[in-house]
Amino acid sequence: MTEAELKEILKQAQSGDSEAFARIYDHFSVKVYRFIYFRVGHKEVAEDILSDTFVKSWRKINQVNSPTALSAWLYQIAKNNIIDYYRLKKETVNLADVQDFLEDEADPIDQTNLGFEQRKILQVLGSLPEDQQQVIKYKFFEDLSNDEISYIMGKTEGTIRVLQHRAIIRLKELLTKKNGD
Amino acid sequence: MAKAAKENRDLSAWKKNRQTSPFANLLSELSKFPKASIPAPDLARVRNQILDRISIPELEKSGWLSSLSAFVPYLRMGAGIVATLLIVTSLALGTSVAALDSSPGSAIYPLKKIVENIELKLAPADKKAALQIKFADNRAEEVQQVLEKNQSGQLSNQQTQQIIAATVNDLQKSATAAVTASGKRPKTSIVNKLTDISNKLRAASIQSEGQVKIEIDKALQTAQTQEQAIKNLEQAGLKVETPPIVMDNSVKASGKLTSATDVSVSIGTAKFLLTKDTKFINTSAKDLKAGLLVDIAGQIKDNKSYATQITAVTETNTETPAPAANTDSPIVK
Repeated sequence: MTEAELKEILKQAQSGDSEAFARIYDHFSVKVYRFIYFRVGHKEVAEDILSDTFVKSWRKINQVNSPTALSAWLYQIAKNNIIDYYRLKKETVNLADVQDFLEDEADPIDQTNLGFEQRKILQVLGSLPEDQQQVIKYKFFEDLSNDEISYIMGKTEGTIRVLQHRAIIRLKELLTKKNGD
Repeated sequence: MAKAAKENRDLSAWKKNRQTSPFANLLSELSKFPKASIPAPDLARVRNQILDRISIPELEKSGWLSSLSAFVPYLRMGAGIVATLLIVTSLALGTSVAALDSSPGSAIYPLKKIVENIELKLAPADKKAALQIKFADNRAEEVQQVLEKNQSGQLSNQQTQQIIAATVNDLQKSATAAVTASGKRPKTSIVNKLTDISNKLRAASIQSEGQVKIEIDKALQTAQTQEQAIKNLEQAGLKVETPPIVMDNSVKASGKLTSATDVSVSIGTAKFLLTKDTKFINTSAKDLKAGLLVDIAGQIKDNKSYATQITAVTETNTETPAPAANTDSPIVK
């Protein structure tokens, strides 16, 4: 779907056309489902959260200004719904800790088919600051764009680029050090 | 370079450069990480569910209700009550209120089912299980009421059997849906309520005989099975697969027409709008008149009932027209 097509469909959905909104769902559902699934690790739960995400987005669709912001905005709603899910599941957990409490998280990486260099990268990745690790995981393991990552992490796109740059420099240093050992 | 690596473009130029080659290799490796496969979602089911959910008009956006926006959270909490009030004011007040206390077999009973249906539609997802179990409990109470009517001679054995069969069918749907809706977080309250329902049905079973007893025992078995299922679910944790929740908007009513116009027909307070797609069996649109005995199948959309099929029932087939009007619960089979 081109940006022009998406713009037209978004306009129709914003005027109350549910069929146009269904086309937005068709376009983004697989990616958003993957994002949710990796964080809840359960098909039915992920489908429920996907459903809630799109129902909420329908109710607030007029908040979206441009088609390019649409996917990032959907990820943000999905993230909030995932936090709500964990908050309901663990009623005793402090809300501030919920984001670090994704106990059912699924691994987006196929660990059985990792190459030699990739195993080394994973070993040193844990040494990076948390926000740098997150950016690398979102960018390379889940194929998200900088725009999408910025919405999910609540940081500007410029900050995401800086974090990514620093993470790669640091990874390279750690790998060089590891290969030298 | 990162963008080129993500898009699997040629990085050889960077790799040849002594300064950039380590980064090019690192980005290349990062971009080629094998991705885990995940269970395929049932996207079509979720799509239908979403379209169904967004088809319900939002109360806070409609006309004069917009001035109540400050009370939206309260409106949400009391959505069921608001819906009930809307229906009550839109119909004759006395009969509508009476419908909420009506039992199967009375002419205004379909309204009770319609109110329940709307209440369920407007309830937040986390309240649906509690509502379904409340409806199952209502059906168990109604079984008892119908048996009492039969014993006092108000209902014939044949009518009782038909009404009990329809009520038991609804009870089974509601009980199953309650357990399904609470699947991810089974609650002790649901188990306790199922135990209550089982006890009521056991008492009803003792009072009954023949086909009626068979029907009540079916409901009893469902309540006990669901009770066991929810306990198993609690023991097994979250990994137990639950069947998908499918909202059913179908509605049925049987009895004598109390009014018929070019655009709608009514049985008691259950009003069905006619559409160009309404099918007529053993009758036609112009032959519809008050007093005609019919079975009506319909669909609920935007809080209105639309007739999809109207079948005229000949008096010879049914000596005593069953006044039972039944609305299928909007729930999972």
